Amino acid sequence: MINLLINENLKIYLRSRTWILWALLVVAIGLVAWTTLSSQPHVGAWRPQLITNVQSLQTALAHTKGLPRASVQQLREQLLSDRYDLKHNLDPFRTDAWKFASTAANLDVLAMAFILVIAGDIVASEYATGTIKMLLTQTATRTRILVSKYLATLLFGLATTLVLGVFSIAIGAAVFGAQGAGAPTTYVNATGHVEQMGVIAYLLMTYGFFLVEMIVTATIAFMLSTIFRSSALSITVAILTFLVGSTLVEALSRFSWVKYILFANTNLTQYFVGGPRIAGMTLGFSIEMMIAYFIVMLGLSWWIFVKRDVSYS
Amino acid sequence: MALAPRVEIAHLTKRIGSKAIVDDLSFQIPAGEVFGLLGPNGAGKTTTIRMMVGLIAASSGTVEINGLDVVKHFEQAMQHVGAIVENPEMYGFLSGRQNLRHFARMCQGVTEARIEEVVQQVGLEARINDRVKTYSLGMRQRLGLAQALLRRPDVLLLDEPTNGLDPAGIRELRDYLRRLAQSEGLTVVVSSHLLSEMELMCDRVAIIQSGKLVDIQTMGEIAATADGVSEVSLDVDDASAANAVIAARFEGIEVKTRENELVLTLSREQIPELVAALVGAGAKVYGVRALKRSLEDQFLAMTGGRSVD
Repeated sequence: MINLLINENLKIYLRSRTWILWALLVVAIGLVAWTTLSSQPHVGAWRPQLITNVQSLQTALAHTKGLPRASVQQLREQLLSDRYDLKHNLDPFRTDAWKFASTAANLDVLAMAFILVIAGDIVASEYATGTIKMLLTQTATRTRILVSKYLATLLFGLATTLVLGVFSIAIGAAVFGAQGAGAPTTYVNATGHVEQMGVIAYLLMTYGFFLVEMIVTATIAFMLSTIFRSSALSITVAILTFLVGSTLVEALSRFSWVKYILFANTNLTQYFVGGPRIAGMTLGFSIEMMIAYFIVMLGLSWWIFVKRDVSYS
Repeated sequence: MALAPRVEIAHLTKRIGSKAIVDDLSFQIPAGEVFGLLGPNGAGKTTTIRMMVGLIAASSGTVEINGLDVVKHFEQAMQHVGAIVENPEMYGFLSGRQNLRHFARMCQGVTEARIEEVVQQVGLEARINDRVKTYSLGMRQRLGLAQALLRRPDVLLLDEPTNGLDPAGIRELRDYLRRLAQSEGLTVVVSSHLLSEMELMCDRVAIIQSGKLVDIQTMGEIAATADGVSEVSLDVDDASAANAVIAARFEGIEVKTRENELVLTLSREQIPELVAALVGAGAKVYGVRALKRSLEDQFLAMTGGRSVD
């Protein structure tokens, strides 16, 4: 089994494609650093700037007619957070390595897309190149081959998340300095109150929840890869599902059945920051939903991969 | 005492919907034999080979390798099998050696020394560290063969192995397979729709049509045909004199004359009769040769000359 896992990993990391994707991710982090640096206000001028922000937010919130619910919620949270910073004399514009890393964590969408590329390709590419016949006519059973491919996918997801995290902190430290590890991050919690959390703890929470979302989303791509046997199709459908799924849940959030859609549940951050997207949803419910989807998707992949005849390609 | 067969196929059937792609196929192959599956395109050869290596599940019937059922004991049975199904597709972004290491990791007991050995066996030493995407088809074929030989199989399965090879490559492969079968006692199963190929390569050939086994022919016996009629070539000193004798003795027989060689079709019993007549008439007979009817003629005769149906 360990040998099969080595094989699957080699087939990922001996391809230049993988390294190009990671390089793109690092370039994207660099771009975020550059944008952040060029938009920083002058030192010392943050208080008047924040006061202006609060005033314009209040004006905006007075005329919310026609605005989507989510946008109003965002404005309200921003206002709460800005007021909190003013009251506790915290400079929200000052950027350091850790704070930058929290900003750069928004690139998780890009990291996820890259993970879906590998996950959507890992089974399908064997069919596309015909190597599936070589792979399945050795002594390893199909179940073991599929398991090794799935584990290699998750390991790649973990590695890509690490690339994002480590390079965010490293580039942040190089551009903004490494100080500020103890600084607090302010955020609006699930019940609408402003809270503080150590920036490192906040980062770990963000990344932890991203890993959960990554496992579930990569499993979708992996399942599509075994079903479609076409890399292009499974990657496209997986990325589209990932991008559209979240928006769809947002758009349909007034219906309560939406909570049974996988994408309403994949982001567990909602139970700690900002509050659940659909009223009545709980952390336990989301975990149960994810496990249910997870079992069905893996079961389906396994059943199809093991039972299907490998005929003319 | 008869040795247990290396490969035993019993009532193997593959149905898709109501159509039987492979229909109740049964045969056994002993050690050291080169066995051919011959049939027109779509006859079910590839499906049969794929069922033998577990790529396609049989609707009914069994395949045993060294007495091990390939479905029930896949891992143990496949330890004795090396296979190339259709084209030898390898990972193009890996080198030949990396490809072999990849497949070596998937089975038991293949050492680095063994990899070196098969690379030498197939004569790929010079290019083994190059990426496979730079290989020619002939080189890929060799690499595929190296892959199939890695775990010292007892049974080698090759599906259309000569596809895309040039005549020199085909000849080389044929000689190599024969050598493996003779010197190492390897059982080789090849499929092909090229009749002339099978004639040169195989000890026995199973003729398959529309998924059914039509006949199994031993290649040595191929000359003796079903109705006992064979083509005979005579080497004589004076063709026209000999022709006159034949015309007098066997009325209405057709004789093809080429310089001093006469070719005619006779029953087996008529051959000594003919020779006696010629010698009696004072003709000098330097040679009498029964011409082999090619498998192609027989194949066409047996399958009625149809290709796909």
